[in-house]
Amino acid sequence: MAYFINGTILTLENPGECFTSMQVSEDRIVALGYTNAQELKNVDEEIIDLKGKTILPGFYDSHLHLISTFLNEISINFDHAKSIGDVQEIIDQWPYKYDYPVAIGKRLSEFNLKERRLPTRVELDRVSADFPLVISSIEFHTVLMNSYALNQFRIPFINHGFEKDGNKNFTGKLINQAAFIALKKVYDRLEDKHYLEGADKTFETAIKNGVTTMVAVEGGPLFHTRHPEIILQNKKIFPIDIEVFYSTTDLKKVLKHDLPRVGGDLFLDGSFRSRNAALYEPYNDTKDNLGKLFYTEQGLIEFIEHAHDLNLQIAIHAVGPRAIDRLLFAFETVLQKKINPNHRHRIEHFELPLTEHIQKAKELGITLAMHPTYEYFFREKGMMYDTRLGEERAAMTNPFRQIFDAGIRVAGCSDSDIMPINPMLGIHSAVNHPNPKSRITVYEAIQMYTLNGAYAIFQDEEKGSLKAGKKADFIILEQNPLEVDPTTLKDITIHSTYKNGKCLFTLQHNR
Amino acid sequence: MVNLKLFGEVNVKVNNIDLTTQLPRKGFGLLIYMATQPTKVFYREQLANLLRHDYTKKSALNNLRFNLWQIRKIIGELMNEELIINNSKQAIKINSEAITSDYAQFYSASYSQQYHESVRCYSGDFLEDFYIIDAPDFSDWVFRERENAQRKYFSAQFAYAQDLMNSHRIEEAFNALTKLSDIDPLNEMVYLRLMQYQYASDNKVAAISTYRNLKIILRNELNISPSNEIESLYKRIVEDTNSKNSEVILHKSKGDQFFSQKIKIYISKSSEKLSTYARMLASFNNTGTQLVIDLCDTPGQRIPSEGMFEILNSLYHSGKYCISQWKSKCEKIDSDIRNKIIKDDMIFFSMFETLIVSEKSECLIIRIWNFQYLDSKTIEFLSYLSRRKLDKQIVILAVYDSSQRNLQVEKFIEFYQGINDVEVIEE
Repeated sequence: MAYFINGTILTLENPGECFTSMQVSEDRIVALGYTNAQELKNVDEEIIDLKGKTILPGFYDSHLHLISTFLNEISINFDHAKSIGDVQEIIDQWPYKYDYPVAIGKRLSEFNLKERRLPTRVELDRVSADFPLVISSIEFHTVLMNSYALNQFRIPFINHGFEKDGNKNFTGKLINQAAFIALKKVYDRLEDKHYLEGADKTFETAIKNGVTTMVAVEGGPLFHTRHPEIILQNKKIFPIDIEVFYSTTDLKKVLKHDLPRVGGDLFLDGSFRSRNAALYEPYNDTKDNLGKLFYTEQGLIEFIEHAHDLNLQIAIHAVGPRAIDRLLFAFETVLQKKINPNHRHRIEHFELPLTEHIQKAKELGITLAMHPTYEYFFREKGMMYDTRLGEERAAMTNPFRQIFDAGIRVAGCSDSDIMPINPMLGIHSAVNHPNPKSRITVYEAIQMYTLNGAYAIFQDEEKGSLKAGKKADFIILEQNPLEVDPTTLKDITIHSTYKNGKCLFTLQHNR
Repeated sequence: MVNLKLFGEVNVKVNNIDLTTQLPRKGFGLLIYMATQPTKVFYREQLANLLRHDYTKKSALNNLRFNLWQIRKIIGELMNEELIINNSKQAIKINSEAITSDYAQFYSASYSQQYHESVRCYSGDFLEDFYIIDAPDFSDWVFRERENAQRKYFSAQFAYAQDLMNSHRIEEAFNALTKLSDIDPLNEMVYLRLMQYQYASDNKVAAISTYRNLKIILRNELNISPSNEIESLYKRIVEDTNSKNSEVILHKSKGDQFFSQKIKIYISKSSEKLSTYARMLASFNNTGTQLVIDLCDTPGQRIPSEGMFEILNSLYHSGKYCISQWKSKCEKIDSDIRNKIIKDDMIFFSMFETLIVSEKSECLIIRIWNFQYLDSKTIEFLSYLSRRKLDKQIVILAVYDSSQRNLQVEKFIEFYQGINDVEVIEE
């Protein structure tokens, strides 16, 4: 038993509900109230004086690629590269070139390089002549390979997706089918021990950022069928709760693991960065390109119907408005035939919806899983949203205000490893959305990463808010997010993280 | 005579003596580069840059001289004629009369449309395992050549397959296409041709099976649906098929029991119940002692005999079957199904043999995920199985959505209900 007193305890059960003390026994919350130290004078239990700190429910990260995040720890990270020269230097300095079957590079963005282009194969070869090197772009749809890898991996040339220069030589850049195949070959070469090498570091970061439940979206064409299996085999030894969305259309795999849900990153379209999110008007920087839809209408309906009939919660990726439109139509078609008022089917991303899409999503009872941090990193002038969509359309991305006003439940996500695991940054980004008309309140943003996250995977009876009987997953913040200047939300320090009533992290000392 | 093998595993032989490991890599690369362009005159400076991109001009030329000396020494000693000819002080060429290669034969056959010969020469990628570090120009050339050769090979193999089809050498045509899918398992054109040939040879079931496999592969690997052309072909085949399943003919074994079979059929109209039943089926997995076969795991009515192909596919993908054994059994059954004169009992016997031979496991589990979609011919086969004595047990687990009535299935249930080892659970 432990008592937490003299704090501000925001339960997230009801807006404005706030207590000053909380009682925890083993893995459950026992009571919430206004108990003070005097009343506990003769109590022989642990008493933690919060000294004015704030308690929130533990954060949910409702959509991330956990295996890919693990791999970051054994990959070359190009976050800080500002030029092709920097890219080469980072590769050259990387000490683990020969430690793995393939050197993996990640988080390379041409928008961050002064040359505004990705390095060529020849430029990569200068610093990686004798080991295979494969670099994926931030959202995985583009891959770069050096000559050594291109020679070894034997990706069939018949496939579409090998970029060539003016002399008809391969630049090393692979897109579309070729990129998918290249990534598969990379993953095939890695053993389970390689995948799990980064787990400890990943969880350490997540816990320090207050995450107590992760929803891992694994598998699918950009990843590997082994990824969900690795997570499912090991989830019991992970320090926080990991729920899995298995991205597959083979429902036997889902049923075999007795999972209640399917999808996550079943891509109906792609991403703005790769110019394959499905739009109604062409991309700003490639005039005839409207993006792609990867399912026919009939194919999408068939899959949704099959999964719905098996009582599975379904989550499908739809970024652009044309994809959102098709997906909503498919959901509507199935739900009209087979009513289930508590389906909680999800749309992942929902990045550029029309007003009618928001209304329809509400009508159908769709839950959304959205990524506010994209607004923080991609929105500046000349950056991704602006370049791909143009100023006017870019202003309409992630319209949280309209979505919340419609009464739709939105779960907050990082989409790691595309974005960092940092729910406070997500909250900050939603509250400080570059378009003031899209901003939500701090309380609403916190809901995204707590109760809504729990709701989005049917765990709201157990977690996501602070209430007697619920799991004791909570965090202690140095500052109250409802009281600080909203522009400083991302700077709030997480003092401690508790999972099932046990302290996993505290600033004074790590446990 | 120098004989170069440049497709697949690379080697060089002179008068049948293998010199592959004796030639240094850059020297070998130089020889290959020149041999693939036997009529060309090469400037020394150009060759020097090809392999030593960042060297000074003097150093690169010196190294070139050394490589040429090595080639002349190692290979030239075994030959009566000059292999490399000095065309002038600055240029050299290869003696085209003194060299043969699979590369030359391949291209010669391709250009003269001798497709059989052309595909015979292509035993793998161009310079498959041959790579020179720090020679980007050479690498550029290899990749271009590799792509070119691969594309030519695909064209030749498609053309050869068509020739075989036209000559009614159907199995060989399928084999030719299979070689392409070994290189590029995601190539839709290969599957389209396979479907077309299977349809043209009146094997609609095989064509539909090919379509279903392709659909799964494309979605899992590339997140796409089959092309419009393949979808149209599939629809045409389904419409063309006498998709009305015939009346099932069921027999009981002597005595009121099965020899080696247990059947459990779960029936419901409720989504929730059906979902629970599906999860129960999912809990059975392939192990050392049991093999699991899946039928009707996706919605959609099956055409006659399609279930039989699903059984064969399951056996193949279980990985426990020797591929050549499976292939010959499958071809026999394939041909029997097409041959409408062959009686069902004979086909069923072939299937039965396939099941026995395939597996040393003690138990065979047949999971029928959507019993309402199973074709009547396969239902009859299950009935046939029940009358056979096997050295292993067969367990049939079926989930039947009774809201989508299938009279043949209901006939099966009614026929066998009440027999020992048959359990019908209806909720």
